[in-house]
Amino acid sequence: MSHAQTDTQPVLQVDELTVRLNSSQGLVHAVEGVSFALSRGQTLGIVGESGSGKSVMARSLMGLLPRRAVAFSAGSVMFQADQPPARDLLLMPEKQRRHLRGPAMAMIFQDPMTALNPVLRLSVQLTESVRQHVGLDRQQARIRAIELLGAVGIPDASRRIDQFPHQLSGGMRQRVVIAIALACNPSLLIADEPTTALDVTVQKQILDLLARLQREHDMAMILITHDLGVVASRADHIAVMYAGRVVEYAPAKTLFTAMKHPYTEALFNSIPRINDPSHTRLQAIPGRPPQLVEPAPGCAFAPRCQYAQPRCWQQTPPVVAVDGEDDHRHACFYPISETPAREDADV
Amino acid sequence: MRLLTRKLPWLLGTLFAVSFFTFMLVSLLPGDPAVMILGAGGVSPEAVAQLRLELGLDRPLLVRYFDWLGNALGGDLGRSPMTGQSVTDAILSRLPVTIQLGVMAILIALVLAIPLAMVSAYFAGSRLDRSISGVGFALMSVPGFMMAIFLILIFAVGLGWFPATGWVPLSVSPTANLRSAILPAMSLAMIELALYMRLLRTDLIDTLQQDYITLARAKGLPNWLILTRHALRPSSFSLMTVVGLQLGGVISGAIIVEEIFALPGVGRLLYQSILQRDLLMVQGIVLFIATAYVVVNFLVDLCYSLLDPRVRYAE
Repeated sequence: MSHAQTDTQPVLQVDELTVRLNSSQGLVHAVEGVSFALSRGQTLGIVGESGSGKSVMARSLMGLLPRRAVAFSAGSVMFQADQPPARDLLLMPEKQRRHLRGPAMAMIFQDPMTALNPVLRLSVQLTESVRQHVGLDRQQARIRAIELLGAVGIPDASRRIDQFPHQLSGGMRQRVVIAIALACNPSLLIADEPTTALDVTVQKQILDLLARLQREHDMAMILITHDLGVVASRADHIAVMYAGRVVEYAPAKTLFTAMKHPYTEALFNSIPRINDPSHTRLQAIPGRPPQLVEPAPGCAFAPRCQYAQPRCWQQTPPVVAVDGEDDHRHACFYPISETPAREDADV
Repeated sequence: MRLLTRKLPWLLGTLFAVSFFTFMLVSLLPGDPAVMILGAGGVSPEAVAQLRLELGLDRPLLVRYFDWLGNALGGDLGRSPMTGQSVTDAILSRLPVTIQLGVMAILIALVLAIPLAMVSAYFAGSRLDRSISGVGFALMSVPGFMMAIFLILIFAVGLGWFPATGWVPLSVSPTANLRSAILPAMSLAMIELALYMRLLRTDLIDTLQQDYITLARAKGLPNWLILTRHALRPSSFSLMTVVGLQLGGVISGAIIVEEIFALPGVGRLLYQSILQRDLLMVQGIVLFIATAYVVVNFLVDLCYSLLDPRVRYAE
């Protein structure tokens, strides 16, 4: 579902976004110099292990990080829902920013079991954003909510709407969370590991649903996952994050055929493959992701990288574009030159 | 309703045990009620024996207990040998005062504690939060009678806004009734206030970390709506439990305050009965307090389902 690059202004243009958080151990370098742009109808997949800064970045874009937790944020996040000019979200006061959440940008959370308020009926949770932002009355909002439940594939919506979250299965709850996110027709949808907490059989349904809704609503979507396989066929571009940085950014097809960063390769090799003989040992990435408090100098991946050279331990590699390809960038001194040996990129 | 059938045996068992221990405790106290009634000095042993016979004190303890319990079940807690007044009537006539006092105290405490706890939890760790907690601690560490005396000094003696003592029944004049009730209710409320606030603040801080609060924020709801609609109800379990305990214990809690403000409540009745060694009256009141306590807490248990639908549907 690759879309042609449109001439229009991107919905989201992130430049050198840096977010540092307060913690009891010290300053957490959660997001470091992340840049990307995203237009309507496009999907950006963000891939990385837990602790790579994906979720902090998503929450920072949404303005959901607790004020006291953020030590500082730098860079710029230009956002333009419908009309120009684009505005920098980082400079926008929270009072104005609140009015963007819901009608302009929305988010889907990882765990549908905890994302819905256990004591409120679905009708309340589904209608409050349209009542807040669109100003529908109770009756109109209810009709809209039933429509939404139908649109996300919940059967018997007019009965379900009066139920409580615990009366629904995990997959159904995630559909409700999606319906809530779509309630005000946002231009940007951020899905933070939307299928991680779900059964494998339900995962595909939810991802297909998201893809369909994205097409129908012509939204820009950020799909965050730790599973390269999830975004392979669903994202236009993929950003691989490691230790708060985007270490490789490329169109999805390019990434799988001409990956440059050793971390991307390691992630790629850790996807289990259906064609492998059974009992093939799954290739895991050795070591752990680095802690982000007072990061050591050099490339953050160096301790786990099989190609690491002395230079990698001393200098942080800058983000550079691959020759002749503007939208393929990586941050490695010694990028992988040949295509990976394994060819079954279609996962 | 299944909750009811499951808890009812417990409820009855508790009440039975309470009545038994109350009776035993009071009966085993040193000192013969007959001697107390007749006066200590220069009473003939025959007269004492005569009175013991009249009061039934010569019968075995257990027989007396079941006799008393049987009457109590029928609503008759006996007659005070001192005043001849029916214990049941004495309690019932003073009950409205105590209930009004207790309910007003809890309402005042809640009305102040809930918004303060919300502000505190929302700005957790800030200077504002620390100030509120500090004042709360100070209030909590002031004994009830001190609080009562402070309030009398300031609002009755100093400003003259409210009467220092006395009680006007609601039926006589609602405004005068409120004026006479406000200071005693405040004395009780100020202590509970701090407790309620701390409990709710802690639970709110916990709730505010939940994913569903982040989702509510992602909907662009204003903070006050998130706090009141999304955070308050899931955070109020501990608060409700404690309010229930306090409501049940309101009679015993009000003893000192009723005495200071000279209010004709059950607490003061208990206090005076103890001083006069009116054992039958004490026994009756203690049983009544215990029953009220157990029943109110049972009702609170039922109310959990109002707070959390998961409890409701698990039935």
